[in-house]
Amino acid sequence: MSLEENKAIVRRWIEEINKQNLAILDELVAPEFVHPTWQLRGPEGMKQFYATFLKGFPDCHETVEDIIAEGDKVWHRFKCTGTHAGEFEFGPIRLAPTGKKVTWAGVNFWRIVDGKVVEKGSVYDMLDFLKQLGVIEYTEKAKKLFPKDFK
Amino acid sequence: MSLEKNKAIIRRANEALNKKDLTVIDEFIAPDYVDHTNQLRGRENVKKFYTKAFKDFPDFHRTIEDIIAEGDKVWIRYRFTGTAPSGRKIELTTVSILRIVNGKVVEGWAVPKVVGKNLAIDKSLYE
Repeated sequence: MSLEENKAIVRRWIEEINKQNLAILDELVAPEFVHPTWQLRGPEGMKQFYATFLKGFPDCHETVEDIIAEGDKVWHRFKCTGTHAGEFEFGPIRLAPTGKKVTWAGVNFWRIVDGKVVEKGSVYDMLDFLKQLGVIEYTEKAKKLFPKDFK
Repeated sequence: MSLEKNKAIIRRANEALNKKDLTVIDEFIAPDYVDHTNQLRGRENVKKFYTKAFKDFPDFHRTIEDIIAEGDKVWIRYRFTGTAPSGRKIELTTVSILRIVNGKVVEGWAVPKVVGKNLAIDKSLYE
């Protein structure tokens, strides 16, 4: 597969998940798929993750801000927006809907072999995400140390 | 410049910064460099940024976990380790996106933003 074909697979995954079409995962996720960041395995693991996440943020929308590919790897910088309209379940967190509209950003790492995603990982701003949901508060000292961030 | 040459620049710059060698910034950062995430402009502000980082984290160290390149961009996944002013050791993974023209980094993005509110949020690091 060419780099552009691999990028197209990532874009297609994101577009279909934005439409809540989880069936796309049967098509694009390899049986041996692993997601080391969230410890998921196989198409079912990925599907369960999205089903749970989309319950918390039903209008979740991801955009691709930048994308790069080399060999079997595709990385993309993303931005997501969503309204916390249902119970949010993520690792140890159980949070009743707050109605808050949040945005978060990060980079996802994909490895694609023969048109199927075999690995996906993520780096993102979890602290900022939790701050927007009101789970974490900044200290007064933090506000003084980094005034630019609290304009 | 080839993709491998661009990656080599980033690897060399990272090694030098791990040794707190700021001269590497004159060598590899363009005078009008723009850091979109930390809103820094120009080489001198990059030096100030690292001077503060080295002061806050005397054992500042970044290990390149993975690096890929396409066109004029290099993307790097780092594992950062350092001891904060409070004495607490921290470890986190970040990604830097750099655009390189004629051997100099002209533009950069970082995900997630490392300094500032992300560290400040964890009061145990600064108190």
